[in-house]
Amino acid sequence: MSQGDTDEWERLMIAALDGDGRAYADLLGRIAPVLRKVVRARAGSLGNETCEDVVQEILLAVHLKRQSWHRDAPLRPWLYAIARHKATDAFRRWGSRVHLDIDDFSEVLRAPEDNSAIDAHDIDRMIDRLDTRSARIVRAIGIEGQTYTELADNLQMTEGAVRVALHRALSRLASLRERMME
Amino acid sequence: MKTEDLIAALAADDRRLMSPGRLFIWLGLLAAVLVLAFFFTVVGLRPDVLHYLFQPLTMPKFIVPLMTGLLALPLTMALSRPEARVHLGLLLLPAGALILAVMAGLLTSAPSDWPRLILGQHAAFCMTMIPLMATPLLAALLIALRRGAGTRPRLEGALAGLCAGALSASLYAWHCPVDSPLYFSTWYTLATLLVTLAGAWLGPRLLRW
Repeated sequence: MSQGDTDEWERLMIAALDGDGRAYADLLGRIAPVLRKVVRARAGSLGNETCEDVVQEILLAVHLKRQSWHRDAPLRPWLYAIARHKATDAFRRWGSRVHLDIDDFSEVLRAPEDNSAIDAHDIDRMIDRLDTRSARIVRAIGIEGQTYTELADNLQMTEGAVRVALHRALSRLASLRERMME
Repeated sequence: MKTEDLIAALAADDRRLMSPGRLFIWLGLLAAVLVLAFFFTVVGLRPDVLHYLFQPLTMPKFIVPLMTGLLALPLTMALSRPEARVHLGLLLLPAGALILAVMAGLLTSAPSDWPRLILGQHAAFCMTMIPLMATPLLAALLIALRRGAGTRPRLEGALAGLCAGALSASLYAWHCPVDSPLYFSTWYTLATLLVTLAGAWLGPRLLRW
């Protein structure tokens, strides 16, 4: 990972915080394989699907907590701290004591790229627990790539209301996960 | 759901939220207005307070809690960042000042007077008002910190409590009619610790994510 790429992450995150969804998707798309590598290196024995669950859980936390990143700080330490925190929780759920060390990130990044993303199912179980409309919004936007305008038409809601509903649904997903852990 | 689909859903959520720091500025201002209004109408300013503000023996009553609160505030906000490295050593400063105040109190009074000076006459009021006036600020801090991503919720809650309790005590001092350092170093400290404990209890419950 070159220094230039590091700066790129900050630039993308700042654009994302200012409302640039494309920059944000780009950034999350770059973060995901890094997380996947680190998680698999530490917890490969749990299987790729479980690892992908953890990756998604971290991404959801990154999203919901993105306001806690300071624009003048480097992104990586923040990101790794989020990843570490969520991964520790997640692994505890399976009764395994796996901890991500900050060093993992620098070591794993030298390993060859493994982009074999697979389906994760935890998140589907959580989406199923949302109310029907929220579940539909999350899936329509995520899986089917529908736009706010299309969804607003289909659901007879205003675009603003769909936006709020998506935001709430994503926050609910995180709290459902918390509750599933207890 | 594939990770790329989740990313698409996340990227579509472009609602902008205030950062914990900015949110705290607004909620903190609101809490301050509320508490100051309560203080001036219900608790009341001591008429000759300005005189005591500058007496060597009573000055710590104002300064020590204020210093504690003002030091705890940035530490608390720093803990809302997951990558935070926080040095609590700074809090030894007010702790040291408190010890000096106690020693001054002990040296300037006869040992036979100590129990009377420590107990004072308004301890119950003081122990009620400091936690009560700390509540809005503690609430403001905890609501703001929920936006953050602190990885040590108990410490975060405790520091929020310390900050709220100490700032409340520094305001209560403007009412407090008791002047012995032995009094305030006992009761202000106890009241502040009570709020700190409340924060430490609330932290893991409210600040987990």
